[in-house]
Amino acid sequence: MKQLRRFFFQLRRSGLSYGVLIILAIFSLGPLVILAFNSLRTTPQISAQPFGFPSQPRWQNFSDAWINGNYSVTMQNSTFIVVATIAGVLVIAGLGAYSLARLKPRGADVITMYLLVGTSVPMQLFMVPLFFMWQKLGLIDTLLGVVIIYWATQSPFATFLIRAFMMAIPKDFDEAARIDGASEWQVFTQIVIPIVWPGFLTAGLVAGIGVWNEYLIALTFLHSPDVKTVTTSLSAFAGRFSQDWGLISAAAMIMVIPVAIVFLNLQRQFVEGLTRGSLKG
Amino acid sequence: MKTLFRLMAILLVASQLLTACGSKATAPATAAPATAAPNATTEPTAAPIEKVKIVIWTEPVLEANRTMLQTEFVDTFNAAHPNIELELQFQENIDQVERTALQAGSGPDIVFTPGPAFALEYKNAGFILDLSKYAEKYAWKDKVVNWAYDSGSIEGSLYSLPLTYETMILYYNKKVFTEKGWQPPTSLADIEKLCGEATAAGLNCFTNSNQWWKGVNEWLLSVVYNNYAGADNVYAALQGKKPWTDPLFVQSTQILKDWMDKGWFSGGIDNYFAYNYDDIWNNLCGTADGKAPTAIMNIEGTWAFQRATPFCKNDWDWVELPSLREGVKPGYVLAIGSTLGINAKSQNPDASAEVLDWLVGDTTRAAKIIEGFNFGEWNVPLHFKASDFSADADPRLTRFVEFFATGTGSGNFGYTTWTFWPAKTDAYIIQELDSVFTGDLTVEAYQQAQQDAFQAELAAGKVPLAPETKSVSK
Amino acid sequence: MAISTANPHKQKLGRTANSWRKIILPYLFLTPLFVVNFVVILGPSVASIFYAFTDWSGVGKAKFIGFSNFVRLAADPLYFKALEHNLLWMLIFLTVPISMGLMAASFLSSIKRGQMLFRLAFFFPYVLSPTVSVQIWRYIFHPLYGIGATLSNNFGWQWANIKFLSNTKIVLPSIAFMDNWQWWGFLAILYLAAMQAVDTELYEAARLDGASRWQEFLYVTIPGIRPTLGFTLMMTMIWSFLSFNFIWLTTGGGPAHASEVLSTLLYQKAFQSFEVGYAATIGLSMSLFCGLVTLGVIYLRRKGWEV
Repeated sequence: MKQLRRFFFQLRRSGLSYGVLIILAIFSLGPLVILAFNSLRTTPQISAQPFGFPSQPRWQNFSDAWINGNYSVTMQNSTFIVVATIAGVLVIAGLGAYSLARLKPRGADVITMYLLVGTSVPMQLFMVPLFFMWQKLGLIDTLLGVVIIYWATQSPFATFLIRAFMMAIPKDFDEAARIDGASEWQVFTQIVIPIVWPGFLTAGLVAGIGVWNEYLIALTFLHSPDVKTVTTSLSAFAGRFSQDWGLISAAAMIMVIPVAIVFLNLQRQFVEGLTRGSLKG
Repeated sequence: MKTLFRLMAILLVASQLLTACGSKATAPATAAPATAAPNATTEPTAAPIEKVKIVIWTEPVLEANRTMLQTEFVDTFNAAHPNIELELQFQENIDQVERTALQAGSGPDIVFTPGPAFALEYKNAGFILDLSKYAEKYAWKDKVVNWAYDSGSIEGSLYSLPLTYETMILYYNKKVFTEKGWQPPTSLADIEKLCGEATAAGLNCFTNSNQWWKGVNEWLLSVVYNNYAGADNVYAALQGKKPWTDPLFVQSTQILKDWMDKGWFSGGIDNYFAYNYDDIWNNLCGTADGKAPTAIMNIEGTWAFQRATPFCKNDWDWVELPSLREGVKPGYVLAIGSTLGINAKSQNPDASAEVLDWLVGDTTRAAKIIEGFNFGEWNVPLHFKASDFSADADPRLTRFVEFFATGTGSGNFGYTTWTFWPAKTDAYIIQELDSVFTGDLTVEAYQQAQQDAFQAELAAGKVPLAPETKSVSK
Repeated sequence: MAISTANPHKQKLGRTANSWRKIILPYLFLTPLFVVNFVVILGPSVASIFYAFTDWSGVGKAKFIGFSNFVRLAADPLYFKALEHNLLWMLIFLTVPISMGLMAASFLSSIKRGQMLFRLAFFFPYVLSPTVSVQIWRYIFHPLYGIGATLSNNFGWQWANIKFLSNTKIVLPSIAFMDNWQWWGFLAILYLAAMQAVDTELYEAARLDGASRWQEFLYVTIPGIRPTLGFTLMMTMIWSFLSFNFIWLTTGGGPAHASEVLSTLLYQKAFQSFEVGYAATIGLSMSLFCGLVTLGVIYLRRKGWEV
């Protein structure tokens, strides 16, 4: 009986739900569709009909954009930066989050507040002294130099995220393991991480995306053409003297596609992890 | 997690494969690859030569021009100097990036600055070298035009060589003018009449906008100061003998405000703040797909020569900017768009000086580069002759070189803010003219603030050297 | 756990092991975090604090000038204009994206099919670089061939020809709109994940009690996701003071300071006006505001709110 009632409930609700969701989806994707269309059109076509469909797709836009934007080099650079950053951040934030969530360090509140304040220091402020220090260490114009900066800027948020996931799980399992004599490290690696790895995934995704798209640090700390990133390729295009919308759109699409692919695959696991990882029962 | 790694691996491999096809040569096409050890590579010839690498930073230029610079400047230099490898690097946001690098004790061998005021600042901070000994060795004083050489000298010593000189002119759509039976204006009254008729015909008078470059504000201000108040009054003010709150200067700025209020700049502030660079030229000459022009004139500098022909084909022409007040002689305002100096921390100052000499040493080579830029940039102020330029150079452009030389040679010239004003005052001028346009700031207050800033910098010795104009206004 | 008094040695070991576990170990886990943070952020920030007390122009020597910069800040109308804009920004971001996110997540969690597709659609803009988003919306908002101009040209709707990015009155909300477009989807997915962790039995119970959908939302969902919700509210407030990318890339704080915020003012002062000392002062004030928000949160936490 309950089943039947619930079924009719669902039916009435779903009409409204789908309606709203579809509108939101159009809002989210519409501009991207325009971008995709423009990436296959020429400037005269775009100027004549700003929101039109590319009837004669100009695939050459992509190869032109690829070459002019030096994407073969910048893609590699950006990929390296993202992978290295995620790896470092997950280690740093994972350890830190575990401490804050489970180990109750003295002055945890102060630490938390400090981290929050840390995320709130405007980058433009510490960039100059940082540059000076990096120069002494020979880290200017190197991908590693930039990766280290990203470790510092991305870890606080990742720590909070993972900590939130950790705090949400009951302590039964790890208490049990501790009583059985497991060390903290063992509890951390063998019990907690497997449960909260969706949290790690999310944190990794956030950090990775944040870094792939980062603009200011990449611009200031990476000068030589062979270490530049994908973001600077695009802004080089949309520089002040030329606005070839077709090429810019194509360049933007080149930036977007790999991220889209990665995201598509991770999305499934992310949700599966969440639903699978509950400690109930 | 495994999927993540697999994906990353695929991405890395894919980008490696794509590197094979369509990788752009970013380093000059010389024997040593760009990623090799920067300071010494040996050549496989009989006598091993120590190669020294010189890096020069400059503003980004249009794609086609990058190749041209590479061939005409870098490759020719490297060919003539087997023991030096020159690399040209284009930097976006060059001012900020370079400043940060210089502060940290690094940066390129050859330092680019957007004007003498910046060069002065860098000199005061010890970032660039005194070039006196090189100036003597290479006799640069004879090669470079007087007023340009002087503006790079501080207390008699040379610190920077001019890379690009420019001036402000009036571009107009010749086709539209002919159709409507209009003549290019030669006085303030002419402008007011012309703009009135244009607005009545549904056209905007000036196609200017500062969305894409805040500095457009100072172009306009430079023009009114010199052409209304008069170049000699500007000179007096630059020496501190006249305040910027003088009625002549107040009235000059007021003219801009009035024109803006009348909608003569692209139709008013909403548009002035909105159009990008392509839009401006499309508005002046119409678009490739046949849209008609919506504006008839453009107050811009000679760097726009590069854009005029591609956008306007034969529909454009230029005239000198008219005098805006009785008794003020029209003329050209002087501008050094950019300069080059040598980094005090450079490992190879001598080699760097060689590069600089390559720039100013030969008028034919310089002329070739200038033509490549359509006279828009890298037009080093040398003593050119008509024969330096090729036979099929655009007559509008050679006409400019000629008129400018005779005009300024006789001492009749004015001053642009980005060349002759001290840095902080200049920054203020650019930033706050917007507020005057929107009415958030009165013209008087704007002038007063300029005066305050200028006084402070004058006292601190930050005002660049200016040659005295022979222009006299009543 | 009975501690044998027979062997004092063992007792001592127990206590050392205890202090290892209680005091040192937590900090050991925190070490990597501290190290990168101190080197990259804390050190340079302290250096910048020093700069706030000087008149450094970014080049050359820095002269100590005491509190002059702070005095100037307190009387600077432009500073307060920028601060006002930050507060407006915060207001917009505390309401629009969060409510959109909650709404979308709530609807999403109730439908059976197509959830994956919607999730992808909503989240996608978030993965774009601000440079990309700015280009897209600059195009859409363009005065000559953007949506406004197209509508007014093709349908004669003059009212539609709004100059989104150059009209001083609406430029800041326009940029906020652009940023929101990219941001709200992220919140939606975050809230969805949190909602899915809420015990379905609670919903059962509510439905049995005859709760309407809205009441379910208010009394089951919201409390259920409170940590996540609280976290996003707090981060939104903090990040409102720091917003930079979109504003700078679109208008640089203009026109005529109509979209000026603290971070763009700082950037302009540090790198264009050659007033690094004053810029540092602005930076400190930004950190102060963020610190106040954080203190507020800690205060609430002490009072028992779970954030």
